[in-house]
Amino acid sequence: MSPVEPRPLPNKLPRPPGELEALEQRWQPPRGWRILSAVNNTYVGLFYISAALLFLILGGVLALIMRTQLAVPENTLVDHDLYNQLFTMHGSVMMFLFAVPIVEAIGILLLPAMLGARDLPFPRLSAYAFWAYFVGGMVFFMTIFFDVAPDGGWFMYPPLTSSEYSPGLRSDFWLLGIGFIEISAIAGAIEIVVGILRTRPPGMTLDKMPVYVWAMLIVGAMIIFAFPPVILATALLELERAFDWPFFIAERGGDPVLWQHLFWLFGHPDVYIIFLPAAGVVSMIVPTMARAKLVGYRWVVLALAATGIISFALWVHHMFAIGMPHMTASFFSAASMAVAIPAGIQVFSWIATLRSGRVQNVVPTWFLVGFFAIFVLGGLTGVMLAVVPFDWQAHDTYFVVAHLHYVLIGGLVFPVVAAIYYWAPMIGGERLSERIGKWAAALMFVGFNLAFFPLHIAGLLGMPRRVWTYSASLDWDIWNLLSTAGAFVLAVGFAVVFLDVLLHLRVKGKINANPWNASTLEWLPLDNYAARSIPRITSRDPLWDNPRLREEVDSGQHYLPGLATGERETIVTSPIDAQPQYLLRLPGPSWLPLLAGLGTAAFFLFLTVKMLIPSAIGGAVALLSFFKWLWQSDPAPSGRPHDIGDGIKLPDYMSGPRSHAWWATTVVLLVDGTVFACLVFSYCYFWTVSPGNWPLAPFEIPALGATLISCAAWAAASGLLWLANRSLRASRLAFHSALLAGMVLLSGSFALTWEALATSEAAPDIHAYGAVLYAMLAWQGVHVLTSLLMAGYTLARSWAGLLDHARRSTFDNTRLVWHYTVAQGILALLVTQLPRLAA
Amino acid sequence: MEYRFTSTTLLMMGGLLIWGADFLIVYTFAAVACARQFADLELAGLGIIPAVTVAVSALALVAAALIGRSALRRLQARNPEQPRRFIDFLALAVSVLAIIAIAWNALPALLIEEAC
Repeated sequence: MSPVEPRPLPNKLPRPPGELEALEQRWQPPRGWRILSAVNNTYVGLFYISAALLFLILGGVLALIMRTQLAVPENTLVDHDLYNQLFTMHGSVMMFLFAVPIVEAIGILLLPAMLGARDLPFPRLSAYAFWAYFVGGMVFFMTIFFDVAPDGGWFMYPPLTSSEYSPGLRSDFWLLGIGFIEISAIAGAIEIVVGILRTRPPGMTLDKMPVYVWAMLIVGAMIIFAFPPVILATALLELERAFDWPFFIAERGGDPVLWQHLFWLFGHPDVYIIFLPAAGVVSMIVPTMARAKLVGYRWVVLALAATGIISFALWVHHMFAIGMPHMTASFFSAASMAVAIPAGIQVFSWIATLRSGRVQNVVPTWFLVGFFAIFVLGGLTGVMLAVVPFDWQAHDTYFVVAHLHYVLIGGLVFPVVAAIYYWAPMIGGERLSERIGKWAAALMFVGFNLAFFPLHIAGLLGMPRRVWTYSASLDWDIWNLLSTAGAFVLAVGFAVVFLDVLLHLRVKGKINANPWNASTLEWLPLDNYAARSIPRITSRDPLWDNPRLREEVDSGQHYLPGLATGERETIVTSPIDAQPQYLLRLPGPSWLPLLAGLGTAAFFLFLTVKMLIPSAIGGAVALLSFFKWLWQSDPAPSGRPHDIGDGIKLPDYMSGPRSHAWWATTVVLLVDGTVFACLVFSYCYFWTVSPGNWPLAPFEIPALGATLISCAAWAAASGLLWLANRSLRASRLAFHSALLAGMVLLSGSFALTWEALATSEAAPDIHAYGAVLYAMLAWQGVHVLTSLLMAGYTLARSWAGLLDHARRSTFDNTRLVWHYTVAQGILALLVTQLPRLAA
Repeated sequence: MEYRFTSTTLLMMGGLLIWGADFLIVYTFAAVACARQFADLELAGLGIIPAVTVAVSALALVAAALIGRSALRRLQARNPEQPRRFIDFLALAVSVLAIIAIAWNALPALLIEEAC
């Protein structure tokens, strides 16, 4: 271990009297039932993890009912209709309400501490995302008690889920439930990506980031690009179901295979969105358990990044059976095999690290060993399924069910339980029970393999997935009986874990624990304000390389030991080399995120059951809460620099590309841009599969002249905002005038675009051509409305004296969204003209 | 010095982004050629799909190799500061991985006789 640089610490002792008390007072969490108004990520992270684990239990109960039904042939415990709901809800709950939320939840809990930050940059956003997810998820789950749970499988392929074959509300509830997880996943990604890039401690350059932080950064980026396809897919299916726009109806120009493309464009990266954080967890726990530095840190980072990128080129391997060209299937087959290489790099790094140290025989190690065995087996069957002819044989059989459970339970659940045991002392100060934990690990390992290994054989014997019962003559009995027995042993293992947590984990505010002698910052002494001072980082394993660091930080000798601005705050640093740039003032507890979350949930839920007035009330509550919440943000700059130590003086306000708000808005626009790209893909897809010319007669390409006029109008709307920007410093009147004129012109541009696209004969409910044009219009309309709302809000703040040339973040965000909207409008128009090139 | 985020990220991940672009182009071309029924055309004695796949992949290989070479040169420079070294290492390693992946992904073009 290398010695620490002999450099004076950022702040000297003794610290001024009252400094610590003021810090404690400012970060005091709400008491009693008011804890529900907490927005601090430590608390929201715990809410989130608890909710995700609750959904794990609920999804697990559904699985046990299914396994009981399948234990013996021709069982009548549940009928086929309920069974369809059970497997759909089991898959949906586990994937959308447990797996994705738990990885984001663990990130939201761990990252502030691991980054030495007081909090992540958008605490209220995290709280809102949690409440929307929790309320929406619970209502979604409860549909099973009212016989209205979705029954089309967790990937909901049309035409089975179209209104023709799934009338009623079942599929709508699925589309709604997924809507909540879309909202919370994107919100979580904003918090995670911006948090990691902008709130790292001074000195934590990219090469000094813990592997878990790398994993979460990559996962955040993956969410930004992976969720938009499913956002679009769910929107298109709902539009088809509600308004008969035939995106997936083949006889009217649509194609159900488009759903499969969009779903798996999300679905396959999603597997790695789930796995990479778990791999990050493993890369944190392995070195601690081995008491040795991670072997091949740089290679592991490379593997994480490579997995993240390659995972976007695997989606078609879920669709090998649809009858695609051999060449394209081969490309995806090759990529599916290639992704095993980065996974292998990580596994060998972990093995080498364990080999290079002395491994502690403790509960997290037991779960890691289980993870290695199960995940590697799941990976190997994954490579088997990447081979197209084998996939054709095993497609939709229990072999696939076995494979995906080996990957997901091995790749996620075992590391998550290891994480619970590993980080419990960070929450409660003490380890959970060794004895109980080892029983749990053993039960879960044996139970899991007993439950799922026989399913490989059942699948190879031809047992298809999603059958509610089977004949005794098929010789599948023994494998199913073994599997059911294993499922119950696995459930007992889970129960033992939960028992241990209930008996031994008590959340405490002040924690001073590092029982595993770990090397990273989350093991600093922590309170509600995180660490007393924000550490200066000089190595990748700071607690190992500087054994005095815990004491130095806790005595306030590092950065920002007190309240510089008098408010909750944290240091914002540059994204690559972590140089301090400014102090970000953070919001305190508030009921607004909870209200906004409840309002959002009510809006969608009542809309689904077509109760329009309650839905409107819910939407209004959400909107008003948002505006009140936003009104309190963007505080005025004090105009004076604040000393954080080491002679560094930082401003307490930042606008433009350096500000965290700019980054967050950019992330949102990347999401929007990806949705739009998927919409363009859908348009081109319909074109590609269309027989003959495109668009088919009698449909027409929108008129060129009207299209060009619309493009010019959009460009002029951008020009007016550019003028507003120029006049912000010089003249308030000119600023207001330009912004108001811009709002009129933006609305006019949309009207012209509507005129250009909607005047063709293609009404949206006749043919997929019209449907996709109107979908583009609708998407553009959403952006125009958003831009107008933001511009109106900007004007209101300016009139209220809350916006000027220095305090301008609100306007900067409006500018970004505005210019994006204009660019998207022009691109949409140009896309509709593409067929002229082929004519 | 302050690093530019976008250019640094593009540099670090450049190899795999090129692989992604290559993958997207060859897949889209093959899919469209089969769907629009012009896969029977020939180019330079090869079927149009293998020919385009090989050509695009060759370009991608060159681009990834160029990124890798520039990163290697910077790595060999004297006394590089640590964050820069890490960035260049990633750029190099990602390029090498991308070269393997691009070549691997182009193999079906040479092995599959019936493209559609």
